[in-house]
Amino acid sequence: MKRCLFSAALLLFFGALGAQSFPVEPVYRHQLTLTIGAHHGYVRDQNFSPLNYRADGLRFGLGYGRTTKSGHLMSAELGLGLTKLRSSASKYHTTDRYLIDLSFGYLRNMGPAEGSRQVRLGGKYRSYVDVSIFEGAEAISFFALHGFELAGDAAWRTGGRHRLKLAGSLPVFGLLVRPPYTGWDKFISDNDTALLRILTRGKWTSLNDFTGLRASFGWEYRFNDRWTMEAGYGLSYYSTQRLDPVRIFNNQFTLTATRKY
Amino acid sequence: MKKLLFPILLLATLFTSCQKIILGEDEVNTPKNNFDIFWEDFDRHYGLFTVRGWDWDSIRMEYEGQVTPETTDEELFTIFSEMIDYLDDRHTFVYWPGRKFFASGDAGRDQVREELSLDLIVRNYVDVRDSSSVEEYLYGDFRGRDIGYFHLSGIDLEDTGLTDQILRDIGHHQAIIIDLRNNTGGADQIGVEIAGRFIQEEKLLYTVQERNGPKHDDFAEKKEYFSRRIGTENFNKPVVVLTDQVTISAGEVMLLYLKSIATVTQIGDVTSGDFSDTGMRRFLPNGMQYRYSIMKFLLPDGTSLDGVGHVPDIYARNTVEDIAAGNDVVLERAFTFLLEEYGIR
Repeated sequence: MKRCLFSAALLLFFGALGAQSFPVEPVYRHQLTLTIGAHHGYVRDQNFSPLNYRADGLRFGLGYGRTTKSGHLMSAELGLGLTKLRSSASKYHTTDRYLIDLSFGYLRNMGPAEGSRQVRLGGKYRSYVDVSIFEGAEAISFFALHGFELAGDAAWRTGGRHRLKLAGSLPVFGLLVRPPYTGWDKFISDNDTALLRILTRGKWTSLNDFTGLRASFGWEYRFNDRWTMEAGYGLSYYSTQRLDPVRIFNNQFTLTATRKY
Repeated sequence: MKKLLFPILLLATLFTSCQKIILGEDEVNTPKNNFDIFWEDFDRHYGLFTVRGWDWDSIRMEYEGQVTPETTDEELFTIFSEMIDYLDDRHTFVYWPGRKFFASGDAGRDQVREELSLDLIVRNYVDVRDSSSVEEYLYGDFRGRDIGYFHLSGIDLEDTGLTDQILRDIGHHQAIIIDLRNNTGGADQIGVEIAGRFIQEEKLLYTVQERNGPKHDDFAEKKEYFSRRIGTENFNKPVVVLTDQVTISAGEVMLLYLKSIATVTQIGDVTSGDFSDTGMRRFLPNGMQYRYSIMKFLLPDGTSLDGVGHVPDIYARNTVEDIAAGNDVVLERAFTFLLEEYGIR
């Protein structure tokens, strides 16, 4: 499975590099993005339940980016997901699942500052927090990875007003947070009003303890020099064996409006 | 472009439709698999096998043969209920949502619940100053006596600062009776903060260890809990705590703190003996759910009160007939004790 996902990401990412050249568009320094979308995912978290779960819901995102004259990008993004988990045994109850995705990145432009093709590589800090809560707090589980990623994106113009965008990242080191062996302990009950404390109690670790991968693909349409709209598909995959195995696979279909200034 | 778009869309379609590929096979919903998951989950996570000396393997041997492909959910629920009843642990439950619920170790508790009547206490004994059914407290003054009354049917105060107000209201009395009969527990920390208004000195009271591995004796490091004074008010005069067999969990943890105080006397019946936090709700393929104890509380000398409970200094118990006759024998015994021991009436 890991090999399959990695190959897919490579295909999405590097397949873009051989595109043709097109005329240059004006370069604006700043951009704000607003994203809404649909979420569809799968979760198997054996700390929470032995069952497989589907996750459906909504995604929201806000972003800010600043592009330097050289085409390097500094970005800050916040994504939120409100979803429900359902299993084959969910006749009476569903589980609320909340996703928080906060990232700060720096991507360095690898080609000319202006052109129809653009490839950037760099790194990101990302806090990915995935919390499932069943019936109040009758059952909870969480997966959080506060870590550093190798990241890159690519874009190339496919017409006068549109272009294709690809992005990917690979977390390599971070603070991995999971529930304790029994799912609950005195630390959680003693800190039940201090969520941040619970969601930052973990272990600094690397690829030996977790697998993560994120990739996205989008088609962007430019209304004018300042406004664009992008339809995109993104996926993310996380897994770890720590304490109890968990696999999380998120798909999202999004619409993103971008205002450049 | 078209060449690239097609595989991308194909991949997106695959990723959004292949749960099995990504997560693996789901658990099958057969009686045997439900039984196996249930037994093994307890085996790997339940916290009190060693403390209480239970032989969980014997339970598997006893019930495994009763589970066949023809076993109905009704029968399986009965089997699960009998399995956890063996554990005699009121923090252990089986749920069949929308159908049934079973709590281990609850036999006989309904009788005990009828041996307390708050209506009787209010009618015959106490002038109530304040009460809340949501926060499960009631307090006031005993009529004609220099004794305050503070009843907690749960450990659920939203703001434990209320205890300071309670002590300002009834702390002028020569003694207070804290009534934990029929107390169904709540949050340990709230009990700690209530008890902190009566604590005089700091000392080690107990340790807590969560189960942290597949062996029955795999436990995390001990976390130590100390008594300490909390709040703006403090009551250092005689206190009687009333208990019964329903008094459980956070009520019993609160009692660990109160019984560390020299001027506190427990009167009533032995408490439930269930200290551990309950773990998370667990799920089975057939839709049934369950919970269990996940930790052990030990006294500083290494012994445990789990399954034992707090044994009262003075035993007393109402009968249903006492209540019907308008007498709370346990309360009367507390009055007698306070008079004989401290001259408080």
